[in-house]
Amino acid sequence: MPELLRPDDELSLVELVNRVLDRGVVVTGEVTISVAGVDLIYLGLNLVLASAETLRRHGPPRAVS
Amino acid sequence: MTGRYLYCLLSDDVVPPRGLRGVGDAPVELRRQGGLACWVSPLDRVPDPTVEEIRHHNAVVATVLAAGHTPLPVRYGQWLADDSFLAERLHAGASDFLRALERVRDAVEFGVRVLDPEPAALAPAEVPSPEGPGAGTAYLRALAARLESERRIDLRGREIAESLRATLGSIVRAERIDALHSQHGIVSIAHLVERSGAEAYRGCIDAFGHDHNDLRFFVSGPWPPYSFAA
Repeated sequence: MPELLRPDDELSLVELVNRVLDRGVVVTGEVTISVAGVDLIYLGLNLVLASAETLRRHGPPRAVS
Repeated sequence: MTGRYLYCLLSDDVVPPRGLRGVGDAPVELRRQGGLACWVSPLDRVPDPTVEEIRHHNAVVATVLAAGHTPLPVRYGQWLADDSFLAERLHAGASDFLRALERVRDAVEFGVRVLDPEPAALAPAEVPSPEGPGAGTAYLRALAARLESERRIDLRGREIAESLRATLGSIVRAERIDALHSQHGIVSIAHLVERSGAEAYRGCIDAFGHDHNDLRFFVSGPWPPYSFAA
């Protein structure tokens, strides 16, 4: 059964950060944000992702919101 | 001189709602340049990348989507020193930006993350360090095993994505497929979906999930079309 994510869901956070930080059009022609800051966010996200996937493996199916 | 932080580009003049604030709690304003419009905030420096500010950025772009228009989302952190730099960059890229806006017109993005609750054992991510007699061969074998298991997962992901695309038919205008190499991950798919087809899309994913109940499908969206902006 597919599960639709709630906006505050951990996997939804991963989807959000991947899109906003990594995709979207580049207008200025260069990356202007700090690489160290981005690395820290991805480090945190990897932990979130591992925990979210494991929870979904064992947790009950989510109701569609 | 005040810098401009960019959220999204538009082909129509969509006025930000009164009181809308974005990154750095700055007000959101409309700017025009030729046939393009954009939403910006006055900001005196490049913002730090934090989850909170990433949420603010997306909330602003999603406001355009919720108003019935499809913007071209700008990647986080795009900051220009003042209005004249902004005008120059928009002018320089105008034909590319307008083409991209046309590509996403009247569409929204959905994400599908396909997970395997009981994945086959992956070869270890960490291969042995090549030290000592025979260690070089062991290292290469372990590396080859790892690459082979990732290749099998990628192939399976592509097959699932193709099968899903065939089910969805013409409500999907474009797709992007990315391999996942997490513990349970198989593939991450982004679909550019006709705005009018969003309900049908959810129904199709639901049915596809019933037919593939050994997998988990996490659907997110509708998103502004970040994955189809470049």
